[in-house]
Amino acid sequence: MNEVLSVGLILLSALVAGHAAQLVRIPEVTGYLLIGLLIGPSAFDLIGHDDVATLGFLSEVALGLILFSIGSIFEAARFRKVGAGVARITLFEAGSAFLLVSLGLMALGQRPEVALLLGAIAMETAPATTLMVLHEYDAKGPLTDRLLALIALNNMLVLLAFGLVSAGLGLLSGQAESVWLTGYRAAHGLVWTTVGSIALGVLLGLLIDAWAARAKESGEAMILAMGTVLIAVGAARALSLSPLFATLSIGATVANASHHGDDLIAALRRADPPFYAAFFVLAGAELDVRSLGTLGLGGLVYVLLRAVGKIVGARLGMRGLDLPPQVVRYLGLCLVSSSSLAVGLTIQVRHSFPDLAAPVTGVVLAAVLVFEVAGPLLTRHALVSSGEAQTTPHPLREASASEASL
Amino acid sequence: MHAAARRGSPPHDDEPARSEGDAQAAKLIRGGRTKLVLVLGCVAVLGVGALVAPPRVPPPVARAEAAAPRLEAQVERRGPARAFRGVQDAGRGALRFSVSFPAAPRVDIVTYEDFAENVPRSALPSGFGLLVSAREVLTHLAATGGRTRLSAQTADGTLVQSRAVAYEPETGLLLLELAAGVPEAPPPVAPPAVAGELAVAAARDDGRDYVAPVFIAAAEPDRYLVTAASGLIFPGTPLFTLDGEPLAVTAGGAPEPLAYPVAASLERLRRLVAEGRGLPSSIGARLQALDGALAQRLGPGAALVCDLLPGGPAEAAGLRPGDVLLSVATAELQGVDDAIARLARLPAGVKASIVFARDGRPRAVEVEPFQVLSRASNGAPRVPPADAPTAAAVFADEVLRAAAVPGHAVVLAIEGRVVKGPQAAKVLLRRRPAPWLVYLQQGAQRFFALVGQGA
Repeated sequence: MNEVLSVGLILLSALVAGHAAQLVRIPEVTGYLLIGLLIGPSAFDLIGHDDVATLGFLSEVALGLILFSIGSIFEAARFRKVGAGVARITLFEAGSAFLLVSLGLMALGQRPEVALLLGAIAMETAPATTLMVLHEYDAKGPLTDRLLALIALNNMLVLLAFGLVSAGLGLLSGQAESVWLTGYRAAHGLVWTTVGSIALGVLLGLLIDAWAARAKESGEAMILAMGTVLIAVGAARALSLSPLFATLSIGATVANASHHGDDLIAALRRADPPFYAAFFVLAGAELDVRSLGTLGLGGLVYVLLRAVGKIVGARLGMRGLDLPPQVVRYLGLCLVSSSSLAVGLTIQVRHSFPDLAAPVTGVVLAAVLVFEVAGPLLTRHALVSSGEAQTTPHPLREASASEASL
Repeated sequence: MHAAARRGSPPHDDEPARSEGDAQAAKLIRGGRTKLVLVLGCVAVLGVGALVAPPRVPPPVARAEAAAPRLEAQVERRGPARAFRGVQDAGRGALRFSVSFPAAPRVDIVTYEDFAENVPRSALPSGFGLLVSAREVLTHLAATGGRTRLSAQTADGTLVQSRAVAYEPETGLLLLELAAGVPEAPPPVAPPAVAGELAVAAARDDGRDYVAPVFIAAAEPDRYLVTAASGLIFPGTPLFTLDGEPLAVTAGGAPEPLAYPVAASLERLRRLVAEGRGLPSSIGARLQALDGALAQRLGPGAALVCDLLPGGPAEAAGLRPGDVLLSVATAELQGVDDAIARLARLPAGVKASIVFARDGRPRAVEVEPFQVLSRASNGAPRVPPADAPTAAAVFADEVLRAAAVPGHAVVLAIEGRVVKGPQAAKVLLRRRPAPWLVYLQQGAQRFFALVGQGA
């Protein structure tokens, strides 16, 4: 099937899936994932492996847009309200997931290198999936505020942790070069990925801010915002930086540098729907149901310990913080989703540690399938039970002119 | 999600409206100077970071040129059963590639004890073959395990009876015709490979499909020398290009087997069938060259009979190991290759005269050749007698080295006398002066050698 036809099929499938999901009261994102699974190579193979690979850029664009939105959470005044507590919760939930998964797999006899890599990947909470559910149910409240900030910090922490684990394994791997060079390479990689990506994001954010005052029309603002996000993703790839950090930083910079930031974010939201839909349908198409067969005991342990680590770790992190009860009760459930970043990290493992790739990939891909389906359902349950969600979500539709903020 | 777009910001607690000036004053990054400093700072960070970057680690493909690859193969089955993807995950510093090709062209050759009851001799295939058309399989004689009753098992498990229609003794290639055509047409054949190319062997071991990389170490128009990085390649194993096109069929059985290009081999075999010479005839005799030392000992001649098929035409006609062939069907032979070729061209079922020398005296016999592979040959492999000694137990190492005889070869007879045990062999050696005409067996091969030359 040619790419254009594939994109058309993906979008229309998403439309059908969104409405079907509303009918059966499951999150839209779950509907998108399931329709992607159906039309992908696992089932009807309408979108083949080659199509999924070719259309991968759509997923990258969508992820950039999502992270830009999440980055805007870091507006100083707003973030001060939730910041310190969220940082502590992030450390606890991510740290618990890492420790439980790594130690649990090592106790099962898994190689320490594989266990540590899986532990680092287990820390991740899916930003796209969670944000999608929040938007779908028009969620607002203390739980939602902290969740978004937590996810942003969580993803940054995952990249740092993964970078540290990779650097450590690289140092210990005994490659045919000096220890100093290997150490320097690892340290530079870690610092470059974080500081360099943030610098790129801040730079682009300030540039977009300088132009934003001139963008009078909403269309112009949309072009400006989207073009900047795409440049950030592309430049990050070209410079071996992290598109995730870069686009987060753009959002944070725009939120903190200019009162036009809200307008830009709103304008970008108008262009979001097709990219979001394509992102999740493609994510579903990439899932391989057969991978469940390779889950094995190690995979089951990974799934269980990750979920426990997230939920219990969040609870532990909230101890001593004066938080509303719905946050304490339901925040952990919202952290279970896992998706594209985890998959992206397995690709990193295949590049950097090819002899460790097989066990890591096998477990993560099967676990992502489980969490992609269960995660949004748990998030929906948490939002509805906490009272922060509209119980009748709005399916995809155009914002009417009267609702526009520009 | 569009509900949130109405507010133009991510969901958050309601805030009171502020003037534009107040909103700007509340921002963390205020003032043109601050922003300029930040811009310059970011540019500096990016510039310095790029400058102090360590040298890039070369990609895995480039490093394979410097280091010998250490390879492990994995096979993933995706999508419909007719296709599978082979993924070669290599250790650091080695090659990695991914190849996808249909499994259908590779067939398993399964041999049977009793054809009528379709009882397989073994759960394991004796070798593999390549489906080259809907009803033809290209394989190697060694893949049949020496049996003639066989079937081809396709990738979806279907068992199809087959019969040999063409055999090329020089290469051992065998063309089978299936009793029933398979529904899927095999993919088109790849163009000839060149030395240095990487190919993929697709086979099955322990009931699981696997792929293994092979290098085309040397390439000639009609054959390749391949090097397998991971163990033996079974006879008849098909080789594919990295694009999944059938490339060659291996003779198998060694870490560096010969492989025969599909296109050229198929052309030759089909030509044999068209000319009515698909299955050459045979008198059931294995010949070896009569080189200088053996010729001096045994007298002039073209080829030395070194083994006979039990119950075969040659044995039935009275030929024995050690006989020196002189002519076939009144044509004087010009060497062992000429002898093999002429014998293969004898029409099956028609008697032909063979003149040979035994103990220096010429003799003649009438031999009726049979068609190769047409007779059931389900006998056990030739096993030397249990009391036959090894060459190393009878002769000194330097004597064996001079005669180019491996020490583990088994001594069957010395100077025409069957040997039972090393002591008896040594007694025989003491009775006759060197050099000795020794009849040996190495593996399944029996041959003569002149041992002790110059001793």
